[in-house]
Amino acid sequence: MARLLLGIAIFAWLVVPGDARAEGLLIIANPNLIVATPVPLSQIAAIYLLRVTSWPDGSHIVPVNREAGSRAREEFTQQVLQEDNAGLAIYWNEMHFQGKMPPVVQESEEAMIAFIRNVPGSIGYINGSAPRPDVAPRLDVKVIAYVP
Amino acid sequence: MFLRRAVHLLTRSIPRRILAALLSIYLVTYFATAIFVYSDVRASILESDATALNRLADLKYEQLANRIGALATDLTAWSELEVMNDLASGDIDKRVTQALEASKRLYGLAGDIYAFDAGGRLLAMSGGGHAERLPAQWENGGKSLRFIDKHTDPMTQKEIVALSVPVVGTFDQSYRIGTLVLTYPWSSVEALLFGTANTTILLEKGEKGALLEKSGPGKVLAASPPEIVGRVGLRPILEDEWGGSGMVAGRSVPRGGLVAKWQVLMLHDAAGAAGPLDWVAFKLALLGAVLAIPIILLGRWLSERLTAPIADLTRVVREIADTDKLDARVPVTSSDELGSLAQSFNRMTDNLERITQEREQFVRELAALNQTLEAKIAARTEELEAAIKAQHRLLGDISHEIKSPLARLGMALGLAARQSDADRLRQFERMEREIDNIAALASELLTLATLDAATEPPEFMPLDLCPLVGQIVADALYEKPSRAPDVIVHGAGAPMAILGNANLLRRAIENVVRNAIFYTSDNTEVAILLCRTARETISVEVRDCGLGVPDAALEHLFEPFYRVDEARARETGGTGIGLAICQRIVDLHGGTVAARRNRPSGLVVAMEFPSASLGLGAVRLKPAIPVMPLP
Repeated sequence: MARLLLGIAIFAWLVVPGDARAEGLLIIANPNLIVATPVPLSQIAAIYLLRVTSWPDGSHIVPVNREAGSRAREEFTQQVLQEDNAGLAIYWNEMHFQGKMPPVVQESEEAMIAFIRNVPGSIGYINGSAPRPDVAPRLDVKVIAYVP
Repeated sequence: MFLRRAVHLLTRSIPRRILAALLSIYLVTYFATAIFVYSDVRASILESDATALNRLADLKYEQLANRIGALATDLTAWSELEVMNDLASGDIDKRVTQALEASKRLYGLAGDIYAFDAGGRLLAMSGGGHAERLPAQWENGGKSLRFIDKHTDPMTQKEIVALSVPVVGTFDQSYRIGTLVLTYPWSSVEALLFGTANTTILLEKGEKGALLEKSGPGKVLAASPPEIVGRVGLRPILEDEWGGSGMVAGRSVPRGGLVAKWQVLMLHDAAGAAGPLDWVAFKLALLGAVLAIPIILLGRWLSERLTAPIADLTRVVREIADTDKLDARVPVTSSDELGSLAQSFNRMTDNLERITQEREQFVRELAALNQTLEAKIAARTEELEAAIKAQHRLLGDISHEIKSPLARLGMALGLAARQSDADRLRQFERMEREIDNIAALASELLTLATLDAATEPPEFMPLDLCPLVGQIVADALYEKPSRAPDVIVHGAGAPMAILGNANLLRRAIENVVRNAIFYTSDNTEVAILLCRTARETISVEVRDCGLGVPDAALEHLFEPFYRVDEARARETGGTGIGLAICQRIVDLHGGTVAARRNRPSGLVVAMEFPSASLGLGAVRLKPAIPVMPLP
């Protein structure tokens, strides 16, 4: 029931025109992750650019991306990574050849949330307004940063 | 029966025997070779069939292994797709389902693919299914792909084999995010396996990894046709069990890999494998029969050629035996043993012919000699007869010529005696007596000569001997009455008839009777016996009990002028040819006369005449004295 309600809420939120919604990105992580919040955005960028691969507790970091062309990813790329999509694609390709896996792609916010909830050490992002303290416990993920 | 007749027919002559021997040698050799070749070829065909079956079984197994291997490779590849990461997020975007469906479509999979998350929940699948949780037999706790052997699909309840592979996150190889399962229908396995006409069995190896060869039967996974399993009974099928309704078996080589436990067994009926050989066997037999024809012809020609000299020899021998002609010769055609036999035979025939010719010449000469001799004898006999006739004529003439002068001399003596005195008269009487003697002698000689020289037989007629003998005895006793008491005549009452001349017979019998009566002394018994003998002859015996004659004289009594005692003869008188005349007469009548000793003393003269019936013309003589019947 809770999921259904969550789904309906998210659906309602999505169909609302962008201008009407609160702008911003919530950086979320597996709820079991023990880390000091908020994590600085520079740190998050380092994680997504595969320069940092472990959490302070030593666990493996699994960065999760949205598909290319999605609005959340566009925002995340611009706001957090401060890069353009084409340049990033080349960069991750190179890193792949160096044996470092590029971030896992999930094509929907629900999938993103489900993945992060299930996979230890995973980190992702969803659209959301700050600080939305009610969101995290209901989604069963940990919000570790907010990008306005 | 048929065989015995055939054997008899074949062994009747030497050429046929040779032919039979040649034929049997050929048949034995050919068919022994044919059987040897046939069995050898059959063995090698079965062996190559087994090799081919081995290869085929291996090929089948390889095909199966390749198929399963390809599926495993595919499944592994799919498990490593990035999209599989969605298993971690519960496939909310249905990307895994799409991927599985696309794979099934693109790869033309006969089975289905199922994706389960790490907790065993069914997240995605390529087709339909019922279970929501990962079935126990598909679980894969390991890190590598697992092959699940034939079992019932828990989703579709069909017979399948399955491949189960663990899925890990591409982001973290140590993080298990689910399980991917690929099913493969058993019908597809069978379709791969049973594509050929041969019998195929798919076996699962036993516990110890040893298949049918040593341990018990393995588990049969599939068989086509199914009843073949019952037929072979899963007992060890060995390749040396060929023959009869045996089977040729081929096995795949055991290998590693996913389906290492499988072994493909291919069977082939030995009869079916060697089937084409039946045609070969038939052709071999046919070839044997066809080859027999020239061999029979050759054998016949050869045997006839070999035995031709014997046939020639046989023909010539038969010709000689049939015709007794010895001029036939055997042609000598060769210089071998038969040739030398022919030469020897010809030499022998030459000798025989020469000997025969000599013998014939000898016989001819002998016949000629014989003819000459006979001619000489005939000439001599003629001369002799002429001489005898001349002698008889001379004797007759002499006797005749003597009688007239003697008669005249007698008359002259009678006249002289009338004119002489008493003293001279006595001398004259003596002279008369001597003249009488000479006249009697001349008369007898004349009779003898007449009998000897008679060219025609005297006239014969039936007559009775009894009255004739009676008359003779009576006449003799009239002249010598003093002997009357001594003379006895024994005769049968029945007539004793013979065919004869009465005058001659009288003379013959009278001679004997008178000898007996006149030349024995008084009181000497004289018996005359007339009887019919057992030989149907009439016997006239004159027996006296006088002095008789010595044994040595008995056989000479019937010779003319034979005298037992010269002195006595002169004393008693007689001419000396009476018995000779008697013998001639008896001979003329076809009878016999013989003299023998009387017991205790004296002489018996026995005459025998052939008897005859007394006809109407018989001369009946009245007996002068009574004839006594035989005692």
